[in-house]
Amino acid sequence: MTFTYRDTREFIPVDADKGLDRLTGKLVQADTDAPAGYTRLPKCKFCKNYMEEAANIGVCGASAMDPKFMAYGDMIAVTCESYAD
Amino acid sequence: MTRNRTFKQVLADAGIAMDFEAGGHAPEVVMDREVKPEPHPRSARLKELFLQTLSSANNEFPYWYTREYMAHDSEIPVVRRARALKAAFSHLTPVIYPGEKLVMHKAHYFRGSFPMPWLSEGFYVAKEDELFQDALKRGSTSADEHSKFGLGGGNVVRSFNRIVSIAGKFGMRQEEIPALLKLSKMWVGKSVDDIGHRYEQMCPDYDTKEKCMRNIVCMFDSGYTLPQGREVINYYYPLEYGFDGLIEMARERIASVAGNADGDGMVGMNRLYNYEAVVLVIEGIQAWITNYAKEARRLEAIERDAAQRKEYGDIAQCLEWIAHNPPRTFYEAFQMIETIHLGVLNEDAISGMSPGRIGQVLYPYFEQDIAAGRITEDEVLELLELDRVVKTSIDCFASCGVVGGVLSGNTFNTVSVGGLDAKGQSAANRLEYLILQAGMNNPMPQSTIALLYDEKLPEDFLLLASKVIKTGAGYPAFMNNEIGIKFMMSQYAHEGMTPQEATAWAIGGCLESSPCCWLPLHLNGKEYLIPGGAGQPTSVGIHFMSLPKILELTIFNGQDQRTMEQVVPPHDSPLATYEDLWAAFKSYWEIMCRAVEKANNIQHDVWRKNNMAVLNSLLKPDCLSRGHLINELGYRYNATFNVESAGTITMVNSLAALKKVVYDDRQATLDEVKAAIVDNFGFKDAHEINSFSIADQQKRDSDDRKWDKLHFRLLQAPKYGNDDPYADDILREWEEYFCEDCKNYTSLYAHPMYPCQISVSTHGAMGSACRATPDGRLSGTTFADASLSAYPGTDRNGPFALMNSATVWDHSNSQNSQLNIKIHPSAIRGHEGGRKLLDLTRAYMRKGGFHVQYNVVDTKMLREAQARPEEFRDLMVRVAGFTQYWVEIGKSVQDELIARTEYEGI
Ligand code: SF4
Repeated sequence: MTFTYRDTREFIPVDADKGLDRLTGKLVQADTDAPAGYTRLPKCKFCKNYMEEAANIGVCGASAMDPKFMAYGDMIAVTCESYAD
Repeated sequence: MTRNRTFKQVLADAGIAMDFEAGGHAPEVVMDREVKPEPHPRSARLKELFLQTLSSANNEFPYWYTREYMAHDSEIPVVRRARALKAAFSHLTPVIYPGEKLVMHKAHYFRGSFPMPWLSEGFYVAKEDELFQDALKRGSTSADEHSKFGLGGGNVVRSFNRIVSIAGKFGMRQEEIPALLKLSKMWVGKSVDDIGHRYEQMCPDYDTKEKCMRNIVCMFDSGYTLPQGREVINYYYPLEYGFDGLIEMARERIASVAGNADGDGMVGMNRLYNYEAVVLVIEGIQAWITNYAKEARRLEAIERDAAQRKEYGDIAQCLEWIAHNPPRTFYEAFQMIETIHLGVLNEDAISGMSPGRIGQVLYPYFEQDIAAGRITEDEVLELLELDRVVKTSIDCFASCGVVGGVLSGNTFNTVSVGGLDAKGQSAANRLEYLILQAGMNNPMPQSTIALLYDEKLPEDFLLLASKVIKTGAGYPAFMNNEIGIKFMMSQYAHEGMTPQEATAWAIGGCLESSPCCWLPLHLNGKEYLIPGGAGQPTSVGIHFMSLPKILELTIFNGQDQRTMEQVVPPHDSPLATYEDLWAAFKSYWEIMCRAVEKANNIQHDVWRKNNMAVLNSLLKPDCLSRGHLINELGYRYNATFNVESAGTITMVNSLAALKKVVYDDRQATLDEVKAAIVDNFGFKDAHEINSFSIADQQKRDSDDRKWDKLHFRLLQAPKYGNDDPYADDILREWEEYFCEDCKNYTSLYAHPMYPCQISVSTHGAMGSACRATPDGRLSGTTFADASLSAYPGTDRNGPFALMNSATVWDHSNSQNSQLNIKIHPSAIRGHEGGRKLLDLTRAYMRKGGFHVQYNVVDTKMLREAQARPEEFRDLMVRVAGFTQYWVEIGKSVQDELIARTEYEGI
């Protein structure tokens, strides 16, 4: 399975448009495909708690608030305690 | 033939030479700077990465901040804010770039930042459609769009690929735009901007204040754009006690103050909540550091290169230690102050949080590590070079007008060197030599270096500084230590400052003298007194009043000639004498300052109620011991709010021209001058030709030259910068009045204000909104730079005459003054050239000048850089009080720099 670079663990974000491939050390475009075998980066859009309501926006099912607080799919979730793969 | 005749040609036809050179002629060929940088390979690689990096923003911090804040709407405000900060810090994604030794970033980009809608959300909400459309449009990646990459340096000047440009500066992923808008809407009616706006409208002179803003008489509302900054941070407490120690201290204090007013029925009880907030925020910082440590361990585990693997391990070990304990080594201490610095900058929209005298702060660790052989000077030098990459990567996400128009994207993380130690002796130490050396090896805009000049400083230290200037980096700037100390005592003695404490002062922001103090740091049984900030921000108060615009309003009876709006009530004086003119000018100045003062006090008051600094506060003496944060006057020095002027020399030259031509020599009437101004002396507006330099302005095709004679007279009237008392007396009279008048305005903390005289980049933005002025300057062109730089082409008698003009008033009555001089590289070549530069500087300091700095650059190179920016990505120049990449400053300021008089010999 392949992912776009910016959805992988091996991608080091330099700016909104590009980053470094940690394995090759090369600058790569964030939106291009990463080589096969690169690992998926935890993001809200990959989390079971994420419920998308419109493009790139939804709610976080793990939120204790009523109504549940918003979430956006593209947010990196490596620090989220409730991330569920 | 009048077609496209430039201002320069018009003058030449009249027999007036205005070649913008003084003291000789520059060589024909473009001459580069003499001293070339030689960074360590690691610094060079990371700098290279920086140069390819775009300013990028995301929503991670605002997301977690807002989520937590909204979940606690009945909590005590300071605790609610602390909870939100803790959540935000704890969730920042850690990113470590290969080769980094000093790690951590504001956000998960190399040059990352984020919006703070709790300060002001209006911009995003108002731009909702535009941002949405831009986000929707962005679908495909085209190579063509990519080729525009370099334009504007790291600024995302327009949207491309899937990147949406925000305010022409920051790039945000299209996928994040819906979240930005949704988060922003949650703050409608709750942000400092919105709440402040509700209350400031209750001021009777609110209307005047709004007109001041609309017509760019005043440049920005500091309460919600940049509530903090232009101050010196204090790293002492975490260095001395460690974060665990600080939590323990706060918990002990909670036990002693809970339920106890201690004689203060007003805010005594608040100490409990304040200490609770302190604990929460420190826990957030610890989690942030620990997340980075975990990331370093993860990388250590997967890295194949042995040397890099060891470095990740070292980074992890350092972070795991400093998350809880006081640092033991130079490296740990450096990483700790780096972390604290970034943490404070994430707490609020801040520009000008200066590290201060880090050569003193880090010296204990340096001295002991060097003695024990734990580190070499070369390793220290490398870390200092890397620090320059970290500091230059700091972006401040504030409104476009502020970041572009005022700051030119600069963040003013100024480091101060030199000055005196707590015993009154030269403070220059071996580490400070290395700081200067690092500035030369790895010239980058941050940290800009301020040298606190004192007669006691060693000659070789000053000569090294002179050599650094020759790189053209625009630093170190020389600040007069004696004048700085005098100002400290005059402004802060009433808050308890002693002469000894005054010697701890340093520069906060670009050249804002800031109150500091000495505190005892203990390391391995030895005590060192280290300096650190002890005062509130100085970026606050009545900020950037355009003096030429106020003069325009004065001669046009209160009406702005660009918008035709009546900004202030008509004075209805015929201005029959110069004294009438001067009196009317002062009355308008006072009306507008008063209106801005009140509105600003309300904005800051709203800020302190809901958005107070917790992290910055706990670092500053004496918040931890007193239990009060910034909002309850917990800082040792609180009289920091000031009145900031812009366009001083353009105003002085204009008054001199009116005095000479209209009132003394009666060569023209005031009405004739006004008519010529309205007609821009027959020239096109600067915006029409898209050049903001006086030299490039073009006559209108239809011009019948009827204003030429009057224009020449006004241009040839006495000008500041030539040691001519006619003009210089006007400067002195203004300064004497201004320095006294500021005391009539008070901050929300009930302290009198004082003058601050730096232009930053406002001379470009404010000049662009100002019609022609009576000194002959044309409509829309940039004002004279700084507060004491001469107007381009008008200083004809050499640098010593300029310095005589600049020192006709007592600089210690003001927080600062600012003089920038452009010198051709050939004028200061070789050892002898360096010495001449030092002699010139010393002469100015001895005359009582507060600040001088030099742009060592060939004007021809600047012209080439303007024509082919892609070839000059790392060209740096000095603007007002800071250094910036040429390609990242606005055109109006570039044009002024090109036009500024170039000294070919000194
Ligand atoms: S915030 Fe955390 S729990 Fe909620 S959707 Fe995102 S990753 Fe999942």
